Amino acid sequence: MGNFLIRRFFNGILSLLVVALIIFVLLRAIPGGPFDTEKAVQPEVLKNLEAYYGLDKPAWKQFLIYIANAVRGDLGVSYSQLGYSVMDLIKDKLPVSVELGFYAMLLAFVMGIPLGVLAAYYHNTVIDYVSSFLAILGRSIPNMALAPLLIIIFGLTLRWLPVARWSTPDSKILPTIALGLAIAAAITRLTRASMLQVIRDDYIRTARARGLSEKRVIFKYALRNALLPVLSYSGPLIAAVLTGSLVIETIFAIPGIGRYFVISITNRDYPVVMGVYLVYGAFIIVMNIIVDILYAWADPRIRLTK
Amino acid sequence: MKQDNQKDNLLVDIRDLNVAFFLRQGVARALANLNLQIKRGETLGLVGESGCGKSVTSLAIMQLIPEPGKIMSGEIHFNGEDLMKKNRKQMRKVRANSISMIFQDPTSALNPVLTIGDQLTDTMIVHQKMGRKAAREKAEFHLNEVGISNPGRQLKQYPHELSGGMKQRVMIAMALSSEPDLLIADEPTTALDVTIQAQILDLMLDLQQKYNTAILMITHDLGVIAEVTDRVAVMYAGKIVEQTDVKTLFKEALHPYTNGLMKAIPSAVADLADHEKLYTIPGNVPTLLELPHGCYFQKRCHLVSEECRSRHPEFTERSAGHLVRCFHV
Repeated sequence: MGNFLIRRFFNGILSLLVVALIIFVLLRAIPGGPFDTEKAVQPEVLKNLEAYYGLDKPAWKQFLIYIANAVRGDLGVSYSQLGYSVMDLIKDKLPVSVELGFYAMLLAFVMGIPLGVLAAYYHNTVIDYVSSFLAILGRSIPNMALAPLLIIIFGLTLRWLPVARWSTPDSKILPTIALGLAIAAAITRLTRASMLQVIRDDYIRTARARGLSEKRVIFKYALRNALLPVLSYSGPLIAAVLTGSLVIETIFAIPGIGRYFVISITNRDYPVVMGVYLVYGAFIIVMNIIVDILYAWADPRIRLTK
Repeated sequence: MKQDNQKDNLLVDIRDLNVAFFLRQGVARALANLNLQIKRGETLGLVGESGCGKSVTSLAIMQLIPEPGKIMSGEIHFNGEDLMKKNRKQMRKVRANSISMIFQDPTSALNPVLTIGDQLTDTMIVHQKMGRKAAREKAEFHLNEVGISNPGRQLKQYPHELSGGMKQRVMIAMALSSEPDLLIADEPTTALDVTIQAQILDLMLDLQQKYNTAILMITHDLGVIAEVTDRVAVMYAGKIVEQTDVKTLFKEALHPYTNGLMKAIPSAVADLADHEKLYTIPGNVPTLLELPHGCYFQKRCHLVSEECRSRHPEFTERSAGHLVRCFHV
């Protein structure tokens, strides 16, 4: 276990380096630069700006400087927001996105797993059809449509909940639903499919043949096996959800980090792009390590090798 | 008086059992008016090709016919009570205490994510209301009984850490831990090595003696039949076609299907020089979706006549306890 963690940690660092290099190269490969505006900037000014941000140096040197600074915890400053360091941006915005993402994932698991189990257990009955219909519906409605719909119904018509912002607990309900519902639908479908397969397995027949109750058969004998695919699916999904959503954060005016994944690119704000995507990469790496550990715990046939 | 004795001696009495599977292609009649009796403490062999209804018979006794199958009619008396009339909870009690089952492939029959101990003690804790510690001790006792050394350690292991033969021993320990009246063994040795097969069969017979358990031995292996059974029922396309004691079966099998099976056993003494091919029964098993009118075996039978095509042969008793479903033997 200790060996496993050390190995995966260094693998993760290496992966992050590669990710940083790829983003760095791609950023410079796309046309346009951080200081391109509609009105042409004076060449002298541009030169000064580039010198100030170190963009006049050769690309490989810029990259090495970036990495050297990053190791010390300095991810540079934003080009578009003066005096705002990328580290500050992450510290300010990421916790909000993580909180929203956490609620959304919680909703997704709490809804998706029971619905999936029910649908599988009552396969080809009304319960299955209703649950599968809801799942397909939830999967098909894009959250950019669902969010305004929720706002109109619960915010404007019924006036139960605030229409936007991220402050009081009740203001967090609609964004959570808008973000979590589609994920809940995905987890419902995955759980159902996996459960359907597992309850046909021989060891389920054995458990029934030994006189165990259906409840025990499902929860003790089937569920743990059925959740293994859900577990592996969840790792990258959680990483994506915790790092924010452009659509939801924009619609609800939530000060999360999700929107920076897009606007930093349109602004060619190199340090912010590098910063947010490296955070995303780090989340994916960490989540995968956690999933692997959980997997080994849930399935004794898997051993964490050195 | 004698009749009463016989009745008491009867453990399982299946009467006119009909099981059908409702498939997209139509209705498959898996069992048609099946009648079968098992006496206390005896070993009854149920033999036939794949898909002839052997396993369906056993699952019907357990009331565990999987979807889309259904028991259409019939009675299954067990210890004098009709299992068809029992509700789910009562049936669970029967499964936990009186009827046990072991399956063909012990690897898939054991849950991969639970320890042997967990699976072995579960029924004891739920149905026999035993404490965790007492259940563990009982489990150790039964593992010891099926020849597993160091049972304390095995209880903590997962199925994948055991060999196939060991897993089947665990299944047997699990099955016998409730000291059942009936043990249904559905091809218990098919998935095992030949050397392990004999050990497992010996073990089952030993424990049968000890607990006076009746065994329903389902197999397509006539070697297993010869070795362990007292009586044999031969099934074909959802019906029993011949039923007798094991000695009579091997000496003077009457039904053309049974004879075909006997001829299809590879023989070690056959003259290898003449390159004679192993005998096979011509034709195929009829599909259960469209069973022929009359005798189900007619298309593969060398004795077939007009009569066989017009009506289904009933059982006739040729000698004491030797029942055959054929017009021509």
